[in-house]
Amino acid sequence: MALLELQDLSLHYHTGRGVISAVNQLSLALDAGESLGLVGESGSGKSSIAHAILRLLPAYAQIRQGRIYFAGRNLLDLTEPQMREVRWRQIAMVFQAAMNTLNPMYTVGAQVVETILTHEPNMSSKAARARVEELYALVGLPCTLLRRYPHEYSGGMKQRACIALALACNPQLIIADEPTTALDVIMQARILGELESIRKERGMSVIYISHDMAMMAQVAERIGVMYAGVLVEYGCTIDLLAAPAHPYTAGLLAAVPSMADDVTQLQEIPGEPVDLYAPPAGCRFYPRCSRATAQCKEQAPPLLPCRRNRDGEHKAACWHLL
Amino acid sequence: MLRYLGHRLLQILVLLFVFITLTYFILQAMPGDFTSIYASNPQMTPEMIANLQARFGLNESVWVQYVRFLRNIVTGDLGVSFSEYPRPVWDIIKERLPRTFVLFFSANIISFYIGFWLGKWSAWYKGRAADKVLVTGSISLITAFYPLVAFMALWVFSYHLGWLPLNNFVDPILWSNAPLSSMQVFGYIIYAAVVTTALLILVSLLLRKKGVAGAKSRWIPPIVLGLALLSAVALFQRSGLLIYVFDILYHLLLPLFVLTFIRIGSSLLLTRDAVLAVTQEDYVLAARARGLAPAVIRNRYLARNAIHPVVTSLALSLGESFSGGVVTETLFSWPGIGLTLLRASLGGDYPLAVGAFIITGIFLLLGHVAADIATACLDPRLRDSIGR
Repeated sequence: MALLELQDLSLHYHTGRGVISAVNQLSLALDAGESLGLVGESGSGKSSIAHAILRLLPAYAQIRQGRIYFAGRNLLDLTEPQMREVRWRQIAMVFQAAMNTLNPMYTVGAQVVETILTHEPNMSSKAARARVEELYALVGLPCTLLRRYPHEYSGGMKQRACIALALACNPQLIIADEPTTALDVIMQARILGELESIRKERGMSVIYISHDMAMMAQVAERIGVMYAGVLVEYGCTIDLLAAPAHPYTAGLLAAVPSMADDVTQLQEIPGEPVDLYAPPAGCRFYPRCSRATAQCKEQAPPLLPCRRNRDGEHKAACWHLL
Repeated sequence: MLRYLGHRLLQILVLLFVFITLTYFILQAMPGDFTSIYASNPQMTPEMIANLQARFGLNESVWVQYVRFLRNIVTGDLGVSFSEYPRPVWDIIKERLPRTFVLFFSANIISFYIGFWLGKWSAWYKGRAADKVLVTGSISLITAFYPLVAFMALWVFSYHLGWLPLNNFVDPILWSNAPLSSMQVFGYIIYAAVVTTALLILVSLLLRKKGVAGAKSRWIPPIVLGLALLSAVALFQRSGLLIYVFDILYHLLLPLFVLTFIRIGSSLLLTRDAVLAVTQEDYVLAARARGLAPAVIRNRYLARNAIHPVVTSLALSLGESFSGGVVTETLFSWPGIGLTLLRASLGGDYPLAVGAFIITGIFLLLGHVAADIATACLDPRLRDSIGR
């Protein structure tokens, strides 16, 4: 059984201008110990999914349909106190802006200890502190930093501290939302490498969320490509990179510079991102797609296995697969 | 830290000098001097007036007078009051300042405490009925015409119900054969309050340093407070001062209540806004993601980060509490520094007016430094910048 399973999830935001369809009938599964990458441009609904899983959506968001099963329970049915036990104990998160995810008024060590003691109230504060020191050693930070305040950390140090914090309660799943966007490339590679080795060692699952296809290729075992709130392609990283089936994925890959190819010009996807207040009735990508036909305009394509398919896992939502 | 303090105190001295100079020259710019009151008095001959002017050095040049004025202030000599001749100005200020301070200090502390607490909950329940009631109430309090509120309170509690005294600091009949003056008894009350507060702060600091957490230590500060108050009452009872102490507190009650009540509104709205601004911060979302309890998020994340503007505002109003409210003290006939200032200014008692101005100015400036230090101590980011 899958550790996490999203079934037919639809999510809307009610704003002053109208209703945004942020996630549309999305189904996705993740096994224990697996790493999944969710790729898409900003506004494609990646972060909304992360917040929906942890039930952190703002009051103006509405989940109209769907279920989120985690370890056999539908998270959407849980009460708020039950959900608080799931948060961090079972599903932790590394936030996009690590700079701002720590309370500036307390030392970082105190915040990690606070988190551990919230979920394991019977633990002595001494034991909690010992565990925090182990975690710091694991992410390569000196223990002296525990007594320091967030503003005394550099960007990379904060990101590592946030990873240590995510590991504090030994969760089964970590959602890493743009974990390295704010860092330089060398620091990015190092931190991702460390996170991956910790994942393999502990048998955790990780969902990476990013717009960066190159980074995904480095860390994710499976990749889901999102466009305007719809999962347009899903498959093994190798398959998906080698033979993208959806025109949008192909476009994304063409926009990534490659060392091997002799490309002098990067291609970009023509057109504007979809107006989510009034998304097209059919395929949401059709206004920008070179292969669009009348059918694309009228009928939304289902996510179906593609022809060239090794294990039946590679799926795409397109009427005219590549 | 010391360097920072030294720097700030130097700034204050410069500001104080400017303030004193301005005060002096504004008074000098007024037409005539205090002898003008006698100009129309047929019994005062011009020679007598000239004699009087010479005695007070008023016939000399402005600059000579100014230097003499400065020298007197630096040596701590504020002169002699005209209206209560020959009482020294400092003696009068010494008597009136604590009355004003106690009234406004307590009102500020209590109103900010209540306002902060209510503002925190108001922001937490933003948009709900309770929040709407609190916000509407606060805006009503801020816009209410203060003298009217005070008169209504006087009318209801003092005149109609007769629960509280109408005016004044003490009941003169009761005090006619008191063993000590009201100033001395008031001094003891302040002394008891200061000792109790220091004890409370010490106990809370010790508890924090020891890291004693949980339900048990929560009851220690209230118990300490109760014991301190009980022993103070016992001490006053033994010395036979208890009725006099109660008489002062009884007279304090209504102005304190009205002042506190009227000030809750602004501190509530200030806190509510600050908390709502913090709610948008990423670390609050991250705290929710970590499954922290709502009370922890409310207190350690929202309120703790919103405390900044509230503490600044509190420290500034504490500085202002020395100048008192002329309106409040007039309405309740509370013989504090505000009323003294008003009467001295209107009655041409320049030494007293200038003395009161300068003293309240000093405390106002100190209030600003206190605000700076308080905010710096509360925020680790600022603590560093002044630590070096």
